[in-house]
Amino acid sequence: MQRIKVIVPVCTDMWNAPVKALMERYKEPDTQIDIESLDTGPESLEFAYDQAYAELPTVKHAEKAQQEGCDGVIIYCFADPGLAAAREALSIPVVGLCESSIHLASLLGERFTILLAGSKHLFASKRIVVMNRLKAYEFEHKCASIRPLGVPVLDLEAQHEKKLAQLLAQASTAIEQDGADTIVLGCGGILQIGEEASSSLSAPLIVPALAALKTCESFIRMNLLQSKRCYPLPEKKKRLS
Amino acid sequence: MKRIKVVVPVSSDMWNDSVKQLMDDYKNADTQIHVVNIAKGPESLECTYDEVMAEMFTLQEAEKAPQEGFDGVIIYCGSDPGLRAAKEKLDIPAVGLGESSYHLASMLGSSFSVITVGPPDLVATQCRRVRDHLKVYALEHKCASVRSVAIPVIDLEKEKTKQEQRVFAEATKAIEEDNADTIVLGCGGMLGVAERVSKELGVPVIIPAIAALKICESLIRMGLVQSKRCFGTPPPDKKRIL
Repeated sequence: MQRIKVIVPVCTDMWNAPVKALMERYKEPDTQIDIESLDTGPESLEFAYDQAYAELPTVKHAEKAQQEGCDGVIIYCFADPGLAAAREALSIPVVGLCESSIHLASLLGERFTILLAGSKHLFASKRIVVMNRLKAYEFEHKCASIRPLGVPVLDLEAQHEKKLAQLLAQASTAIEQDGADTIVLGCGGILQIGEEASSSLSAPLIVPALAALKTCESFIRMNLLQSKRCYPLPEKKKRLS
Repeated sequence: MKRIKVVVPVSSDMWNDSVKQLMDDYKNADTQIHVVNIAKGPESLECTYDEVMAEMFTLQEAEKAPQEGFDGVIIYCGSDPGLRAAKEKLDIPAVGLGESSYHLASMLGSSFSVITVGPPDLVATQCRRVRDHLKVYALEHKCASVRSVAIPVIDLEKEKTKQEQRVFAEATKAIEEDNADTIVLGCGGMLGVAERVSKELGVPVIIPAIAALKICESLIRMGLVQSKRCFGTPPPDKKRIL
């Protein structure tokens, strides 16, 4: 039995049940998924400002997961908030949605497009958040484009048919105009429509929940931990919060 | 049940049993592993010449996989011979040891070193080949260095002690001199040496067999196949004389 803690780094529990349900369908039989959101922090993550609010409680939740005896942690947001810090603090694998999705996409094709959820007016800031992740991972050269879905995160599952059509339209434009050969859903909140879209697309569609789940399960099974040369355990000192 | 065909791209069956055993130890419960070598081609891959000799026969084994009822193919060599051709031809996932190892290593640290094998007088050639492959995957910038234990592939098993000592020595230098934080074993024949090195040096050591196995299992489980936009199916009615 391997226990994976999924931390949804927002102060609402609205995602917990659907994300758990999705992962339950794809996990290995001996994997146990525990999911929790934050008590503090932002309700969604669209700005560097939100990310700053999310990171500290996320890292604390990750530390708690290790104390509880979990075997791995998934930080459930495409901005991977607190990922490097949690990797330093923990001696169990810590996996982020963005990082695992772009690696998986790069095993399937040469250039991926990331589709971002969120209202149009939030696209610019959200795009920068994701661009900064790609820079940190040194993967900008594999990214064909970042495109908006133009659907607010909270509306994703409502008006189902219309949203699905929008997703397919953006994905097709990415393939035809931007030269993408693989599509990455850039938000952990794109659940049901993401799964449905994959059958209608001429390119593989990466659902970040599943990319992170499979990567985390693999690391646990392989007994691999993030390199402690790269993510050394922080020294003990006073850190007030 | 998902069935994975592992093609060892050498004309010797000396690796088949140990590769199957290793993968059986790490596979998911509902995975079935079938290991084959190729009928023709080189006995080991230690230069680009060998790679080219191996590619055609590897591809022929890979191509048969769907009608044999397999759900995925692993090409069992660090140099991924014929991988891109197999990705074009197949509608089931085709996975290589090198490519999957480099990606997993990149998620565990910021800079990996590849420790490879081969005849002492071909060390520079081994290192060049690894860099060639990293260029194709556009991952050279993640690689701190390529080093070799300078033992021919065919001697790896009988030189086990020397192999382990040299992996340890080269990995130490990779960490201390090249600032690597993660080690990738560059050859599928480096069996049973990773654990001690990882434990004593305190860094992750990627065993390519397991990296490829986990990637292949994951892709099958997620229903994902290499992009046909990028790896388009070769025109079927074209004359290709063998």
